[in-house]
Amino acid sequence: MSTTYLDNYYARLGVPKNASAEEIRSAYHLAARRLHPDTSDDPTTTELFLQIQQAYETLSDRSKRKTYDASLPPDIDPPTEIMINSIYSRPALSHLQDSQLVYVLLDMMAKPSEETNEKNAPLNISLVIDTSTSMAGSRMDMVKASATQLLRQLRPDDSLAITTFNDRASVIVSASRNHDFKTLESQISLLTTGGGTEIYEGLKKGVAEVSRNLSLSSHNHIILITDGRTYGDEQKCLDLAGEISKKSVTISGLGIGSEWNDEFLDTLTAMTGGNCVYAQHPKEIRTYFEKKFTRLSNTFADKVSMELRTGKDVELRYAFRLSPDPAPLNTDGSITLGAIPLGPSLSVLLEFIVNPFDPDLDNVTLAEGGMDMYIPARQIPNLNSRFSFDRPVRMSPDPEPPPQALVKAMSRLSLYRMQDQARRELSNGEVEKATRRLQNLATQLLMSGQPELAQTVMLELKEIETGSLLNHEAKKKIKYGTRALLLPPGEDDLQQ
Amino acid sequence: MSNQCPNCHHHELEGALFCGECGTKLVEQSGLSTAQIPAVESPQEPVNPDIPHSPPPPTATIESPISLHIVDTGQSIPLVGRQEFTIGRISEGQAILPDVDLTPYEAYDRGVSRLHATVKLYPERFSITDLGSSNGTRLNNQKIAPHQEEFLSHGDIITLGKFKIQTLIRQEEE
Repeated sequence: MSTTYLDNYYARLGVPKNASAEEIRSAYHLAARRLHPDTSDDPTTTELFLQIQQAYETLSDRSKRKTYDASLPPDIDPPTEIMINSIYSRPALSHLQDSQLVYVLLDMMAKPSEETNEKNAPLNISLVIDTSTSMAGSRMDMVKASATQLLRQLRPDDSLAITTFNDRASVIVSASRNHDFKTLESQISLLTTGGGTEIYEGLKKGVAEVSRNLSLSSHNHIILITDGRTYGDEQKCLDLAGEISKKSVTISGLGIGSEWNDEFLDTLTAMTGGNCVYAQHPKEIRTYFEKKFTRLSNTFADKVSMELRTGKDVELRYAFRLSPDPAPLNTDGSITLGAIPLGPSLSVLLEFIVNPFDPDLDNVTLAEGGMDMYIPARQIPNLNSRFSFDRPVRMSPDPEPPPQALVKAMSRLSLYRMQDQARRELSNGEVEKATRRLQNLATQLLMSGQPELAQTVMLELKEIETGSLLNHEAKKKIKYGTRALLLPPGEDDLQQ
Repeated sequence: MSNQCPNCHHHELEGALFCGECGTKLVEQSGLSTAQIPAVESPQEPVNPDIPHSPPPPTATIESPISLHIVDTGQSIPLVGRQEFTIGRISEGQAILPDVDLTPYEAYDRGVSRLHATVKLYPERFSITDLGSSNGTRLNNQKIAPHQEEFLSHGDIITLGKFKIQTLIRQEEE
């Protein structure tokens, strides 16, 4: 049996290979407190607990640990302060004439040492605000009120910058710490609207501002707020995001109303490990700001990314961040997974297609590569480690049902993917296919207790039937509505 | 080998969990959807907002000295009121009934015998004995010999056929 880099007992507990018995014990107790099945109905929690339990059983027994150590490749040393667990949809692959699928649920939980925990890394926030004509009225009022509130929450060593854009961009507040609240508040209150939406210029200035106080020991974040569609400069924006994706800066997006380009903003933010949220009503802007501030202040690691090479005959077909902030991930080249919060895990689902492979193989490597992340509160900010995912090959087909955690995640994710597929089909003119898929989606939504969302899908179907223009609002409601289904229970989202 | 959707007959690749066409689940159903009766009800302490996800220590919520936690559904069966519990499933015309009936959790499909094993409660410890079941019992993945008593620790995984149970033993606070 091979032991993969990310799926070893030390990584599961987040301890180094030379950890003392006491370190192992306390890591286990920490995990047990968070994950004990009695405290949660979530199957993911149960699966994780079992994985960690298994690791502890071996590592807490001196002779078992010795045998286990001997089976490990010599060059592994798992990252400490993070518990990394992987749950596979199948215990093994089988030899088939056809391609087959394997899902991997990768879970990373912060386990900060006391020293790291006490260090509260400062925020470096750059707001980039759309002030085009359409933002006038309640949208702008709400943005102003929310920005002011955010300002009041900042600590002296947090940095804030505000850039606005319409046809042109201007820096309203240059990145600075120790703010004079009164001056800043009046600057925010004086914001006016007018003109069109050109995101690139605003984003470029916003990037320049965040770069002023760019530091590996702070959380560097750009928040882009827009209600419109930018024309002609999308590629320039994406190129800029591509540059940023190599630095420790994350871009998040807030799209207000129905006119903004969600595909563009989703791609842009995903490239940097951020996510994009849909605010249907202006009043949701405030909730977004509040949540964002809490999230940023409670982040352990930023921009976890994987340089992933799939194995021979294997393709990574799909990647999706389940938690926090559910969002599809870019699968080409380096995948930016997002941030690891303090508390809940960073949880990512990977779908691999395994094409027919060499019948002599007894183990198939799904993917391997390096993993990177930024931990602002730590002295050694950049953490780098290797990983690999693989599965043994067996003669007989899988006897065991897949882990509950994966089935649950996929049951929600399959709905999101259905709307995604239907959207693609519609834009390719495959109306019949899309219609059938949306009908199925409505049925599934009804069955899973989502009558309102099902209703929205059915209304959209009617519009498609009459051949009317695409309804941007319905499309966004369905997209972000099905995405919100992946949020843990109790965490109400802006979309609901 | 094919993986055909029972609903829309779309062919999915082996290993798919849901049909990409109509969203129908393609893998074995489990009891999760009915798992709404938490066996253990105990007041949770208010969670410190600074540490959003750190529930009270596990041992604090278990009311009985030992509970059987059904891994696939997340339910727990507390064992109280006896010194010995037989575990199995009830089927028609059965003379001796098990104390703990696993039928509602698809025990038959997972190869649990009618009288599969017994759990004994001693003052300080607990044990499991396989009752010569057809599919055997494993303790932490090691097959145990029939009719031979094995002692249990907190967190042990008992597998009856393919039915996974975890033992949760109440421990005194450290």
